[in-house]
Amino acid sequence: MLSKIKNYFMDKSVFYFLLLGSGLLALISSIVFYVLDVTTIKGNITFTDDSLMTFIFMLIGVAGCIFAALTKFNFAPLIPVIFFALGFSQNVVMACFPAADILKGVPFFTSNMDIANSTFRIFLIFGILFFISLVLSIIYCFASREKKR
Amino acid sequence: MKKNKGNIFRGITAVLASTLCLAGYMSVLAFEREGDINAFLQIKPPSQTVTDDTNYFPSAYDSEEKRLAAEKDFIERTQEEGSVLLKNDNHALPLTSNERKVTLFGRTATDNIFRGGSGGASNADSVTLKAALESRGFEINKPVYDALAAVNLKRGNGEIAEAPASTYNGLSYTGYTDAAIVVLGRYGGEANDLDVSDKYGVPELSLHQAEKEMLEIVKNAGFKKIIVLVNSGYAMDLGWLDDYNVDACLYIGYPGRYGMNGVADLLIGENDPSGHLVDTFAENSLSSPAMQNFGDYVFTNLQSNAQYKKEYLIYAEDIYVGYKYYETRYQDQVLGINNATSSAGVYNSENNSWDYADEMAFPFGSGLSYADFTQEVTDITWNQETHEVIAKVKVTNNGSDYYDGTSKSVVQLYAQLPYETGMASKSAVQLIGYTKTKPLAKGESDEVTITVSDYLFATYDDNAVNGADESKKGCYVFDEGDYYFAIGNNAHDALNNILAARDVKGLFDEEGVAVVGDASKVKKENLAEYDNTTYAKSETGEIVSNRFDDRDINYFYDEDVVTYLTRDDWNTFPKSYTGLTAADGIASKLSASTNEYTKPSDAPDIDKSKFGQEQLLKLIEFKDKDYNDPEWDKLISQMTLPELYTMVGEHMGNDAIESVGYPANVSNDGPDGLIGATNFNAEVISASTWNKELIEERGEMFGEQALAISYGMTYSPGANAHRTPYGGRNYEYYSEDSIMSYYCGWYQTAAMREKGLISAIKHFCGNDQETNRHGVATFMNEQTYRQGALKGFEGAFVKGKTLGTMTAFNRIGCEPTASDYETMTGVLRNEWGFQGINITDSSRDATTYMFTADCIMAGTDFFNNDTGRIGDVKNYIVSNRDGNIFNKVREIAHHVLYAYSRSNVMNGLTVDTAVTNFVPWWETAIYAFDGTIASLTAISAGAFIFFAYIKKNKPEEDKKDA
Repeated sequence: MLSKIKNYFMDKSVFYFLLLGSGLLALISSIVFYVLDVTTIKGNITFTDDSLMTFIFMLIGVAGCIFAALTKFNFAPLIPVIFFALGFSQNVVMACFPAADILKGVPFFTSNMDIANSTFRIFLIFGILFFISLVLSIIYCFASREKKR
Repeated sequence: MKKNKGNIFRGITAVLASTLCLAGYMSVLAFEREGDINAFLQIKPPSQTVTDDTNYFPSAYDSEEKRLAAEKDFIERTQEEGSVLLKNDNHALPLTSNERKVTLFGRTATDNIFRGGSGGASNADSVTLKAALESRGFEINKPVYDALAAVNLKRGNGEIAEAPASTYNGLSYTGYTDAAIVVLGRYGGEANDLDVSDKYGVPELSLHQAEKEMLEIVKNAGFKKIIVLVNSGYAMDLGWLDDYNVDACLYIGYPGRYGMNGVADLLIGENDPSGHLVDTFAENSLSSPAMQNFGDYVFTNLQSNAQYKKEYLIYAEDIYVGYKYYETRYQDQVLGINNATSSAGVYNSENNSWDYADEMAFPFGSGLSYADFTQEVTDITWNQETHEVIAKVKVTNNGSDYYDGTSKSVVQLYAQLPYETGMASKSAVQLIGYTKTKPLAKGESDEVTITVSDYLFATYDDNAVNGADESKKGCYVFDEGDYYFAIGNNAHDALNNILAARDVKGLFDEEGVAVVGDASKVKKENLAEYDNTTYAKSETGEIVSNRFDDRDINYFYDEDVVTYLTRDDWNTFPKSYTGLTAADGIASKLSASTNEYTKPSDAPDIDKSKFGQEQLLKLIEFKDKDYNDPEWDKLISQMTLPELYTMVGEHMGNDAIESVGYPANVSNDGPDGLIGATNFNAEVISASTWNKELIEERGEMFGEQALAISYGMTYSPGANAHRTPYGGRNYEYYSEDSIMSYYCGWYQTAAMREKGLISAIKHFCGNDQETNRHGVATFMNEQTYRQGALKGFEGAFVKGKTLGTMTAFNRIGCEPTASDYETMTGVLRNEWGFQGINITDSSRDATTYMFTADCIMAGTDFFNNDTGRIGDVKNYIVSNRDGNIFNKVREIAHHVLYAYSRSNVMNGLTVDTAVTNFVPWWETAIYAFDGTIASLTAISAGAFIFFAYIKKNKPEEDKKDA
């Protein structure tokens, strides 16, 4: 069994592992992000909390990674890219609200400036992580899944 | 190495698709927040060319330079007249010409607070205290200043940002000991109430450990004089001044861009401070009955419900806000009745027995002058036929050995109404009118006249039979008995004068010093018969009776859950009503997830003759037409359906309505100055001038700002109550006293209207704290609502004839204010005759409880910064063909067109002007960018498909052919 798995991965390019890495990163970061959203952001903001959509997009992106990893369809690598891009973009939009509060010094979209700062930090940190997932999945699109012979 | 073109184009497609996603999201956000972006970028519709004939609202200034100079002068004068001298032992102020070497203390001395934390003008280029002092010849201890400036702290959210005492270690004051000027600051703002227990575990308005240690250093450092400046929009606890040998204390609020110049002029005696407090400064800022129910309260059985649907607030203090509590209880203390000296409500009194002198620092209306004034009542008459009280007062400036300039004196007129146990609530003393003298030189006198409508001291009695319609309950009344009218240096002084006239003994002042009062400053008038008819109807002819029974939380329960404070027994001092369980009636109202309004089966269809008619009239022809002129109906009928329903979605301005010649326009925010313009003194400082002419001038200055930077409407002024000292936006509201707000709102909005500026006075109403401001169910009884929250706004509508109002985020009872028919139509339009625009606060952020149809049916015209509502209204009208909503939208058009026809937006228009909409440059840029990226993505995707699927298979086919 182990040798089968070893053989399966032996001829895979480094980009293939980048794709898997992007999926793993997206999976972990989106789960942690959503937990933080529910526990610390929800109820403290006045703008619509669409973080569930971010979470869903990222999870679909993870599924897309798996699909792209397991199949040889040429279009498959585009699936995680599109959903990671949607998740990342959703996150950027969400980050704009606390960012506006910080910029203006008036907590209009958040309950107070502490929450504006902490909310923005969450969106920023996870935005960076989502962006890394997106970039890795984009890089895979340029590459081949198997090593060059 | 051979390149795989399929992979390359797949990669490029991935990059472009990602970019397109991001661009798409950002574009949607940008279009949703179009108003904010335009405001940020200062983008406005192209203005009309104004000629002499079409300059309907001309500026008073022939150059921008002169206008800005006038603003500067106005801000400095307001600061001089609005700063309140609370203490001035041994004539410590003004400083003599030899006293110019000073040391500044307190981190706020280096980080002045010019404005509170809410929307409006910026702090840019504000004159600092240091700059103002130096420009007047002061030399400031630089090492101390630099040390304070180096302390990096950020105030707000429970951080007062005071420098630790260690900051002063090793610093010398030698050579700068003429005076220590200590600056204390407190800061709050939008969504930012002050903390009852801040990060130091101290009430934010109390003196903190770092401040105590700093004051101890100052006290022992050998300064000739110690002067405290209170740079706060809130009433701080100041009972400690004597403990640190403070010689003088000046309350300066938030001074705006140039106010520090005024402060400096006061310190050197260039001018005399003539401000008086518009709030009570208690020894302990937590000691008022309203403070017992301030902050975060959540119904226990609604904990898991959606956001904005579970919070509540109880106004258990009844009408006894601020001085109305302290002074009424004081009267009962000296009379020895109603358990006034019980332990209930004790915060600072000894022996657990309430004592006014222990609880009070500076009563409402307090304020000293460098001069010594005497005020003598020449005459006070209550004409019960004309319903006016006319007071004539002779004011004499007796001068001072320490100040040579002229001074102004404030004359405050108070009333005491007859009261017996069981009557509707009444304060033992209440402000009814005021005025300010002209500048008086030493030895000079002035006789001033104050004329007051007796409506301003009528009592709203929920239990009265309405004299105009005896089938209805509730009415403004005058109880029979003795009425006392008195002047005084503050509310407490006036009450003591009244008690002296009543021959009450044992009087004392706020420091506990025995006084006798001055009966000569009082006039007693008798009302022989109970009156429940005079104000049973409003000026519009509408019966004024109970409308708000269900805003009292007790309405929903079989047994009362809340006991309101009554002067009949001070043991009713409110408890904090935490952990209430929502009754079914409350729970069902708060948890509503959609409109209560549904189209009735008998609703009319939309009337096709009422839209899209031939365009024969232009709005400019209506600028002098009466609101009730039938021609308005014809004008509105010219509007197309899309124009009608699109109008509700305000976006910090409004689109042009081409069919009627209504030009595109923009709106602006800020009770203390418009975005993109000069920051004025905080509203509370303007009110503290007790000078109606200055308030009027403030309105004119706003009007001039609007003309200069082309705005038709502003979301200001603010007229909510300083219900407690901790309300985050107190600085941009006038006062704790609803009559003071009544006057200020009246004079300011009237002046703004004169200048063609639509003043959307906010936040109408009952929004007196920021905590849970979205959706908090604010419960109070009808008398409290009418004499408090509503009265504070009434002057702006009934007297100022303002053409706009912005509603609040909270609920009155269970009704969101924007969809509260009884307030927005029953009172505002029917009782008060309001004919202008009713705009929500930013409603895009309140869609979960502020429902479109309910708001429109209640009287809302505009949804602020919320074009998302347009689709809702379109559905009601176009898809549902709901004639009710259609007719309401036509009413909205009437309000909007009428208000704007009286605004500066008309400047430059003639009947020949063709108005058009405009597209801001950034929208064009977005369209172009998105289109380009979408095209490139499509091309790249096509190339990917070609190389990955079509070209890849082609060699195989070629082989087969061969």
